[in-house]
Amino acid sequence: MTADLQSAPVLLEARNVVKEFPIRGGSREQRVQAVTDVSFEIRRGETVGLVGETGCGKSTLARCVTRLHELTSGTIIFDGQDISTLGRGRLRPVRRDLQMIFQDPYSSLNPRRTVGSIIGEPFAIHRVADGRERKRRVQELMEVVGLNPEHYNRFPAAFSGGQRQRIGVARALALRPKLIVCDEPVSALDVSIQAQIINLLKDLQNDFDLTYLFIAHNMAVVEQVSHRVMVMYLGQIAEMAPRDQLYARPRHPYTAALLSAVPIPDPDVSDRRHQIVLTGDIPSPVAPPPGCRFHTRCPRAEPRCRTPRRCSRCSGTRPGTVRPAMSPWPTGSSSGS
Amino acid sequence: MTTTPGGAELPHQSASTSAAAGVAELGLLVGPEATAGAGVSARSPWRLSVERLRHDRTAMITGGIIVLIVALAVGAPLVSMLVGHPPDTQYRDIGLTPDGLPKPPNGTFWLGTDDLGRDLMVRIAYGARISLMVSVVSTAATVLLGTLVGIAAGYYGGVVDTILSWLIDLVLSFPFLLLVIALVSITGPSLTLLVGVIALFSWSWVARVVRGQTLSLRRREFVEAALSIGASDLRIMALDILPNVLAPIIVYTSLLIPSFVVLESTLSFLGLGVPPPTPTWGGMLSDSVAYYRQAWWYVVFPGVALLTTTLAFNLFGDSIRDAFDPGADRIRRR
Repeated sequence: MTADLQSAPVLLEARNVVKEFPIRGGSREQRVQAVTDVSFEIRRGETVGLVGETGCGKSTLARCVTRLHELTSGTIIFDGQDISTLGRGRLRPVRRDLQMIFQDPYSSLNPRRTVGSIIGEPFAIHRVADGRERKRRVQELMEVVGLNPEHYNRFPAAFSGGQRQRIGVARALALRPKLIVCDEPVSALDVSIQAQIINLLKDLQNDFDLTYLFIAHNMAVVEQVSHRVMVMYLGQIAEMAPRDQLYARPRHPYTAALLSAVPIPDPDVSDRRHQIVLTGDIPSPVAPPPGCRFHTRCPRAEPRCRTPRRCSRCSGTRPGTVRPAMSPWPTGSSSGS
Repeated sequence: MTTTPGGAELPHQSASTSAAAGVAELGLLVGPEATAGAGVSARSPWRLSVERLRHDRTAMITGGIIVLIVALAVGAPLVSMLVGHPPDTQYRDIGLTPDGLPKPPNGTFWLGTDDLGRDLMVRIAYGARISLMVSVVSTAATVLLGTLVGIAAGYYGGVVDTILSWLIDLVLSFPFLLLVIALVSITGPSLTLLVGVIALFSWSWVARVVRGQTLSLRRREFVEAALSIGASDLRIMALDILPNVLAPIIVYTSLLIPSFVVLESTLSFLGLGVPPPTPTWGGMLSDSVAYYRQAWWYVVFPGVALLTTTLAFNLFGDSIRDAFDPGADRIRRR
């Protein structure tokens, strides 16, 4: 991680974020523990990647950060302001700086609205520009993301998946936000198009001084874009490290298992590699295992993995807070920014 | 990127088609949209639906019939002027036989007369006015109210939805005819009462359909996206939800009109609808029953008018459904 990123101001801070969904009906009131006690920081100008399997809570966490969900408990501090419990009205000005790109290019655009109307909506909502000025700025955005500005009046059905995702990027970019949460922005696209969109996002980061929280389940994609990476499992952060460190020397067994599952094109190399195959099913998020939630499937599990730990001297968390239960032993070296 | 007339997109080019497009997809050309084709015009989902409708022969024929019926209704005074017979004037001398029975179609009365010697053709024309006006106004009120309630219930969910759904269920289960009879016996039959009562009981059908659509739309990602850029609830309901429920609403509208024509006729037949002497098809049918043996024209012509109108609207409504909502199941009508 470059020096200036390490000293950049903290743009987003999540502290002990918990999100649970109650299940109604049935004999007992149960809760799906989607996100449990997640804490992290994002500094201005960096890209933090968030990886994990489907169902680990990444998208839920993304929606908690952007306040599309109400937090069950915990704090989100964005640009110095606590946005954890703000109402819709107070949140609106915050949303100018905190935007989101969605996963599915086919359902994240209203099929009955023109592209110009979709991209121009942020301008309309926040009363930034009207009429001709708005059109000009929308067309400017379209050019920036690589769309033909003459297609201003077309409908989403006329565009391919990659183009639609560009529309989504343009919409998120409209008000020059500070932080963009990218919720699996390339998962629904062909591999060749994925490369285009990733390059677009990287260029935009340089041109517009953007900060990203980049969520994906593809380790290779995350490696491309991230400065730091967080690995998530069943609602908890398993590991958090600078990108190169995480990919070269993963400390948590789950990270190691994920990395060993990434396909390698060269069959000789692939055959020679030691693959970690996880057995068993993912536990239910309604009744997750205590302590490190991975211990039920972990090849290196020890008895102490079952207990949650409290640490006062690791960097990245404040003294007295519960340290993410999943950080691997020993706790000596730093695992965060 | 080509678009078929049906609106489906073809993202995968075959080998024989433009290699440039394929290369563009690989991002090797600057501006991947360069090959999108300047000749392809933007076709909105609405345009596509209208085009589908225009190519449907049944739709065009029934649409034409509807236009004629509307022309008849609007031009009823002209019809009356043409033959010189006002609709309510009773021609007891030239309009009735010596026995006091209706006269069959002849040179003076082109479709014959009714039991009071009134020109049947003119009355049928004026009856079209009543039928159309009642059904259109009732439909408008029904759809407006039903849409508002349906979207509100589906979008807000929770307590709002519980209350509104309960209200919908209440209205749905109310015995319509009993209430109409009760009201009419209190206030007497009137046009306004008719329209009000029809709308009051029909909005719940529309609300149910709209609520269902809204519930599923609420979960779509573009609604989430609108929330994430800070759109207000009202804005989302008007700009994101409404355009997407408009298709079933249009279909429902085109099927409600004939339902209401029949409903109005039924109520008038029972004496609960528009009061005499205002001509209405249902009323004419009611009065004609007593003379069905002696004056077949009195039964047949209003009946044919009613049948044609209802059939035309129903078939047109089916075509509209096929054009605007191609994948939809048949909407269950009362």
